[in-house]
Amino acid sequence: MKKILPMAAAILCGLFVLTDFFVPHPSIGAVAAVLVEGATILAAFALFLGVVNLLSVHGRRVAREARGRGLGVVLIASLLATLAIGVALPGSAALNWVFDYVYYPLQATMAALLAFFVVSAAYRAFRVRTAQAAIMLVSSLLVIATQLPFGQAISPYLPIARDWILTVPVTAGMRGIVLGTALGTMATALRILLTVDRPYV
Amino acid sequence: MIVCAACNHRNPSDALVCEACGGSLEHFVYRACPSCGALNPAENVFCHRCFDDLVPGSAETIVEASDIPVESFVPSEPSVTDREEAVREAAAPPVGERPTSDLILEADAEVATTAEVVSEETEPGPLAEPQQLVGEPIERLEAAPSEPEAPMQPSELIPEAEEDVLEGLEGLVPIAAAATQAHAFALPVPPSVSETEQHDAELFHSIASERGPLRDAARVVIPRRARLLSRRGRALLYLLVLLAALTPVFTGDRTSLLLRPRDSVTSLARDIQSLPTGSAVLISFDYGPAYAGEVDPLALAVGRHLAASQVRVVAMSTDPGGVGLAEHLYRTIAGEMPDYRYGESYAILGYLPGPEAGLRTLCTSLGKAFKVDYVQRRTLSELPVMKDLTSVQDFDQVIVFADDSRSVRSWIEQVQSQCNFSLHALVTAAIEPMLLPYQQSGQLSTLIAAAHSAGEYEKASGMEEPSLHWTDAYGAFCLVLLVTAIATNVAYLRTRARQRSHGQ
Amino acid sequence: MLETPANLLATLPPNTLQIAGTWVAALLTLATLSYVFGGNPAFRLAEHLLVGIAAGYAAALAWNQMLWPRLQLLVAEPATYWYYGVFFVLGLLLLCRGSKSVSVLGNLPLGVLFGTGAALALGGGLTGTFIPQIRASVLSVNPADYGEGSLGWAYVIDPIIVVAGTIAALTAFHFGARTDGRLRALWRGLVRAVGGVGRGLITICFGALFASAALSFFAILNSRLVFLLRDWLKLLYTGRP
Repeated sequence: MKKILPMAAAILCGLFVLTDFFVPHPSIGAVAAVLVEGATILAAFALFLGVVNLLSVHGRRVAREARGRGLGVVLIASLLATLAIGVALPGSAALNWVFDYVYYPLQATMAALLAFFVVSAAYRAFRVRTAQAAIMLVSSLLVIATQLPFGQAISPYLPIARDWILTVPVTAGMRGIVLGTALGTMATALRILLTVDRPYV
Repeated sequence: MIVCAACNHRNPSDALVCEACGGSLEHFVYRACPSCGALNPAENVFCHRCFDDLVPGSAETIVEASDIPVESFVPSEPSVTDREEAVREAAAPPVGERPTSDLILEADAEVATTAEVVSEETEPGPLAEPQQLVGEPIERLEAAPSEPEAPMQPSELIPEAEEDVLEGLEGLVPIAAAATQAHAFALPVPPSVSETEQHDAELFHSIASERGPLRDAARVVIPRRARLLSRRGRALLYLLVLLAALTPVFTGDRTSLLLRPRDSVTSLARDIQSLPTGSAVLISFDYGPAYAGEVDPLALAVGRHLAASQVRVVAMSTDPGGVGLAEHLYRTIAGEMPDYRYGESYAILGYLPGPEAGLRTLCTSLGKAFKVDYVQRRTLSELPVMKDLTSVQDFDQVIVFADDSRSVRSWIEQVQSQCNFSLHALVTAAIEPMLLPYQQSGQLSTLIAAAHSAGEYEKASGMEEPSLHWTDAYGAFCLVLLVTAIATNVAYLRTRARQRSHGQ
Repeated sequence: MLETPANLLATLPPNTLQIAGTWVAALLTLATLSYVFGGNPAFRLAEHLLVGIAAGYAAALAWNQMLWPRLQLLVAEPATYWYYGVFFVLGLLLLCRGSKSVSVLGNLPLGVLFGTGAALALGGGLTGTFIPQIRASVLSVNPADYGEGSLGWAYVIDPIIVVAGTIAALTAFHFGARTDGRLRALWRGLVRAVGGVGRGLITICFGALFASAALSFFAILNSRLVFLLRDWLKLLYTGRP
């Protein structure tokens, strides 16, 4: 029963939603719409599950007086404070202040750090040790050069070259990758619907 | 039971390979007591905690009494075995009814019997010789017969008590303990041990009862990969990147004057310009604060253009951070244009979780996806800007700002393929190549990389005072990457030449 | 309860919150950028603060936008919105996954989630990506369709590259070329050659992706420096935001 019920739920829900893609019937559409909206509700609960897990991991660390418990306190306090403000005062100036002056700068600067590390990664990646490395070096430099915002002022052929590189060889390669990815995704989804893979059990 | 050194699995005493991991048990380090589970060194033949046999059927081996290890032992609950039950059955009536000497002799007999039943291991380990066992003999064991041939029955040991057999043996035999203990089988309490013995015993106990992984001792040190770039080299690179980013401070960002809008940017500006007054555009802010630095300028330029064109704008997001970014952006635009009011000119519907499922609900009805708006928490029908807008097909254009190709793909697969409408994707430069196939197939009407497109859009839309966009910095960054490529290959060639000359 | 501090803050001089916020943002930006010199306590503090706030913000949004309005509707009109109750119960069962002893209760809602998600991925992938992309790959390689004479030949090169490139890139992922049969050597060689071309094409794509990503991150670094130099320095020197 422990396994059969979730499997049956997965198969039934999957069948209704998949059928709705190909069979425009009002009844099937109505059931599929309910299931899809229900999935968004479950996704919200899954987010809460993640928050609960985060609190329990760091809470245990704080309770155990392990190394780094001070940072755990900071994490828990900031989580609970933001949650409290967000629930009690949604869309308020307080929540906007936390977002604009704490959340935004922190996350933006974390991404900005990558600018430094991508250049040091380039030092390793641009070594012409094999033919593939040479291809990658040439294509990277070409794309950067042609992406210059004032490229047209340097040469009218730079934007043309950029367009050609992106619309012909890069599109061809990316289409192969996109098709391969789509095939993999569909195969995985089919395995779940046919209960060959049962990640929920 | 033999404890596998690799995976801590407890295997039968006669096992040659581990049942769990298949590893060899030839050089095992610990045995687990089958009765109480305590860990004992491999050379032990009986458990240090409960004195039960570690190897079943090991009664045949004759072991020197002096080789039996000593352990600080506090008898708790005696582990009952068949042998103990037999001894108990043979035991006389309770204390007080039989002479003490008989009890002492019985105790000696038990010790002798115990010495007999301790046997050799059926599979000798590295320290299998009983003579190598740890500990010093207890004095009382010296009184036991050295090599008993057969177990002596207690009845054989009970002589006629004519004289005090304990004469001269005071202090050697723990009489008080043996005499006063309850008749349930319990080993006599050994005499007090010295400090050294106590320390050794405690150390042994802490090691033997340690339940940590045994693999820790077998840690293999993997040689660290040599760094291509030294610390100074890295610092220099980082400094170059920083200087590249600060270039416009010194150059005054002159190259922004040279910006020419690309065709895709011009086409989008034209599409928006051609929208009649009162049309509706759905904007999805599917990016977080991480990429806001790149996308926000373009989003602000497009937002201002839409506001100036008096087009109704409905904003939403499938990224939690996108809602705050939308709110910040429209607060800025509303601050610049007093007539641009929330609820009448624009609205922010909020966050839609579960990207594929959430976007699929947009196909059926907006009301199924969003019950209330984000700012004023009113139902959608109460907002004037939402008039006649019930599903995504009612919008004239749909613009998606995204930092993740999966988000745009979800829009195409779940919404655009089901409800036909014009989808414009304004994305980060990092994901633009991944979406090129969708633009080429016509599923995306527009695909623009945001990096420096804000300036191009402002020119294309005819804004009078374009903002500063630091385009000089991009040129400097290109130079830094070029210098990096040259430097790494020069260094590589020099290293190869040096290696060749050393090889010769 | 939280309105009182909000009212108190509103009594402060104008721009106080903006000034304080700019200082907080600047200090957090510098603390995060300090990671360039290696891990340090300031960076770790910033890191933990970010994780806490991001989680709290997302949870608050999920409650306000998804759960609370539907809960209100369920309470107000249970006959119409009874299915919300079913999903709320399933959601509560999903929360049991957090505890080992009752985690098995979360299997049913996970089954619903995985089943629905798999169906959306399969249906969407087929109708939104697979079929349209295959259709878009079917390009004419007949020069006559692109113009007469040499003009047609000049314009047909691009479609040939796109079609051949797509096939080559797909072949690069082919790992199971049959090795038995009379033509095995020829087939193996063909797959290897075409796959090699495809791998080259994919390498060009990776080069383009790397360059685009580098530009993207640089743009973000640019924006943070603009904030530090324009907003924060201005505040430092003039005392006004």
